[in-house]
Amino acid sequence: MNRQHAEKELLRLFGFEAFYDLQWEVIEKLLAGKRVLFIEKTGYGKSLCFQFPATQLDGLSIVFSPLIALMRDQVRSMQERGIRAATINSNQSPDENESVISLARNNQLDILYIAPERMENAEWIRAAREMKIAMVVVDEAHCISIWGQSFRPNYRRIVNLVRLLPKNFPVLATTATATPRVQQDILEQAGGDLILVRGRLLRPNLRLFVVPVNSEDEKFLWLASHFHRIPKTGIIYTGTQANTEIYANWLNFLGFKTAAYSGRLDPESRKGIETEFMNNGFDGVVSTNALGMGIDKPDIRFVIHTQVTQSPIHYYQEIGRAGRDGREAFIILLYNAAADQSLPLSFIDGNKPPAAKYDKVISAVKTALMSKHEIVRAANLKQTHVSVILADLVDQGIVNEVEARGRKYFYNPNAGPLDLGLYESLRREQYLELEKMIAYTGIETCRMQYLCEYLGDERQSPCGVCDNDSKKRIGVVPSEELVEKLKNFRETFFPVLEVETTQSCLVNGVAAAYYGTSNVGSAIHYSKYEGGGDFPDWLLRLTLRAFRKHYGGEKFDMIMYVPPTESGDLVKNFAEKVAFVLKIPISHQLIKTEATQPQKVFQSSISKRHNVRGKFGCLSMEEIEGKRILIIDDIFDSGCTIKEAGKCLSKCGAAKIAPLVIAKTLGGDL
Amino acid sequence: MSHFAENTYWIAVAHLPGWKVERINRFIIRVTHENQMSWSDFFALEKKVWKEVFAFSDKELGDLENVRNELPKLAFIAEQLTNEGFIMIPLNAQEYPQVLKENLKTRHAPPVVYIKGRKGMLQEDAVAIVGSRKAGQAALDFTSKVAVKCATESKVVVSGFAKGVDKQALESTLEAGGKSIIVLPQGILTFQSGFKKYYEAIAGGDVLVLSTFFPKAGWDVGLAMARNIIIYGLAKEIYVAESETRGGTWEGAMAGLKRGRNIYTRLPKPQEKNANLKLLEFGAIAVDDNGNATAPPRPLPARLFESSDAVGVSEDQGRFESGENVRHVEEEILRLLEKGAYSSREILLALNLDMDGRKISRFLKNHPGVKTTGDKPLRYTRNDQTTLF
Ligand SMILES: [Zn+2]
Repeated sequence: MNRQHAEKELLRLFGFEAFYDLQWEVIEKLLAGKRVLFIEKTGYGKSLCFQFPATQLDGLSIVFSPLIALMRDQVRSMQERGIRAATINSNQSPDENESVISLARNNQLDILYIAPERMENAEWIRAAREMKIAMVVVDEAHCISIWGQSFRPNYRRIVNLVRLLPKNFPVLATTATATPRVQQDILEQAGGDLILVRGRLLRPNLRLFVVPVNSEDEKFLWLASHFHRIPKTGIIYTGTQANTEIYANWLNFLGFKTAAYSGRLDPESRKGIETEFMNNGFDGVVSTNALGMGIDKPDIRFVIHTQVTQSPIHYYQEIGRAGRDGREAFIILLYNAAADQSLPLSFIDGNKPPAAKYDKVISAVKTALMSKHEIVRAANLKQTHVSVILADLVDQGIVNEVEARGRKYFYNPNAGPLDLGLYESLRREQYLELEKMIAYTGIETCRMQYLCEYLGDERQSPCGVCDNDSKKRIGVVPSEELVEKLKNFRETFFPVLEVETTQSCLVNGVAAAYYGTSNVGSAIHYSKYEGGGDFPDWLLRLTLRAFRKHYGGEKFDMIMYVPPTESGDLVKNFAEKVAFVLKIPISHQLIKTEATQPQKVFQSSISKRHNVRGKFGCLSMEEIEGKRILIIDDIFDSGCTIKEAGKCLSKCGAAKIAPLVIAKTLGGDL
Repeated sequence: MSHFAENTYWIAVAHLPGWKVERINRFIIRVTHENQMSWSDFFALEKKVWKEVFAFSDKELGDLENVRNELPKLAFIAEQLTNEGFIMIPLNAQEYPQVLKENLKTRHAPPVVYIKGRKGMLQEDAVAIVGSRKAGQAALDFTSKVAVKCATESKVVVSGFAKGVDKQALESTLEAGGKSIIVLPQGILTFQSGFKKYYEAIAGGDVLVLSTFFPKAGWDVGLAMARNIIIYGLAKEIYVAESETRGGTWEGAMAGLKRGRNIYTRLPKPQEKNANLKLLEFGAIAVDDNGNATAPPRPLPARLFESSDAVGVSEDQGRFESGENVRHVEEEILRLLEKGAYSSREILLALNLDMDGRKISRFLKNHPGVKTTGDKPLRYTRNDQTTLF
């Protein structure tokens, strides 16, 4: 097919007059059964490079993409044009997915979008073996490389598939974020026969600013004085989940409408926020980097980072979500040179668990064919650690993932010794990347040029619109009024405990503070573990303030407390004081029917849940039946204890169970 | 193209539908050895070139064309195998067990071996213990003893994962701390429960699971029979615990004897009803209940296969009807039938005759000195003789 003929088809099928030259270069190769790696910026029109061939090739084109929302939108617009497109993903019902699979099997589809994790689904693999497949597309191909910013272990299977497909079978890998090193890695992993087509990554409509600050407070103050001047809507990226809540609360406190978004939210809440965001219902969404994968919004007008990213490639990827419509978008990084390196450094250092934990997992895996959950318990390690370790062990061929009523891990008796040296060089590389990111905050030349050069683009002229080019600075000018406002906010912000489930009448509760962000944690620690006696009265006052703020004038019939494991009567005494002040009767009926270990012994919520499961009891049911109960504890970590106590009290007939704790830990487990 | 990338093609070639193993092996040798081509190169050629260079028949061209269209689908299977830690060892790989090539030759050597487990085990000395699914206690005890002996001598025990002798061989080997190869009568991707059951032994390197069939193939009688050839092929020594006069054990043992291999067969107790004695008559080596060589109960006739070599009529079935050789063959057959009842297939094997079995049948049915027994397959014996059973 020549270009002229193809463009006629293009007009008929997609309504476009002509291809860009690079688009045609890619398409021509694919139609000739070649394999291509196409690196081009977001918003260029990379999708057409596989959508068009998909309509021309005989058989089904499969597109692996982690961007569910993007898939959904592309499928919809192709369907509107009469192109036979569909998607399989976890947001659809099993029935919907099943019917798409049967279309694919019966040769009634031209293009099928699926998430990479689908390759881990036995049903899918079984079905795919019966399909007539014409082309494979790997979107966001930088996820293949551990040298990229978002390596995904499930891309390994796609890479293997690509290598195992026959030689003259068209394959397209695309990405908008690849350093020369990532590019090289993708080319090598795919088996060496990918032809590279590289466009330019410059995004002229993004206006890059760096705002130096001297404290965490100054970030809050800057937002207070500037946020109203920024065109809406957009994303505020914070480094941690806890900070999404704190910043969203601050902006809401200032009168804006924002929401906190993180992986911690349940799918329903996440979906709700995404939809509202798509409809411009928020002034901004405060998020960890989890947001972005799930949305396809071309008119994001700003991206603010309150925390410097781990590397320029992370940064480019996250800011790249703004201004995809080509119109002006503001990109702002708030940076505290004195403190902000510690978080990315801890990410880098905490990235890989210590060698001893790898050994623990290996020994566990040798004994029986186990699922991840079973390994978490057998090795007593954090789930996040086990996930990382298993992914690495799979990568090194020391264990294999097998499908045996769910995914299990099979030790490979042919395995060589574990090589942690690879991760050491990865870590060193990451330190260098972080240095390059820090350097970005200090440069006096064009910031876009800096990013593009880092990404391996040919040298560009300055963008003319970044703070360095335009000489526009937007620094912090703290006013006394704002400082007062912030103080006010700090004293009235209390973390919410999300524990509502369908299995009990627990409601979401409240904590007086985060464990790690104030002196609350050290006060608790002093009382609990250093023989400091009862929790001090200021903790009581703070907790009571949290109670008032969260529960308002709600009435409770009874106060109960979580019976202790080892810290004696601290919580009981504390609950008695709360009861005394609130004038609510206290009950000592909640007991442990069996000794439990202190929860902190256990590394994962799976083990924690197991530790407390079924171990609470009530001495008297009558006293509890129909009662609205305020339940008190000192520290809220995984939530397992409160949930289990809530389950027990629900069984005893309580009408409502409302948690009140002194501190909520920052990380959680999952 | 890396070695790994060839795996999809190997699956395609190894299980070409309707092609006999020997034909596939000759095809493989032709492409990868004589033409020094990779499969990716071969399958990149046009049909026209295939025809010109390799002179395939139209039927063969059609088969190859079909399998070429299947390649993307097979890539998914190859990927699953890789991901789940199965290893594919094609005929031309360094790790391909030499013993298979030596024992089975081009005729029967599997084009691809699929394994799960410690692959080094394929290079260790192996002993097959074979026998019936319904073997009696004496056979099971014998199996155990041989298995334990192998374990102490650090030899690998090969068996077929059927009931009876096979399972006994596996269990006794593992109990004794030995090593075992399980040869599957099915594709390797359909053995989930077994992988679970023998997980620790596999992970610990004591059990290796092996299959030569299409990875997704389910259990099948035909595969179970074909599997026996592989068991005999992997072993340096073969112990028969108990054989019937038909089925995998018998056929495998007969084929082995024909190739002049040492088949150690347990000397049965007088009251036992099995075909062990018959195997001994065909030249198997008698061993006692502990697997040690022992004298046969009474002098056996000269080895039949040696005498059949002297006949030298294994060239052309056309001669069967005319000429001197006919009488010769007839004599040989009648002499054999004096010893018992045999199917036409067994007669062909025993006398090393390269003839059409149907022709033999027709000949025997019409022969006045031969009668048939009611078994299936039909067996022939002299009508003035009693059979061994
Ligand atoms: Zn600039």
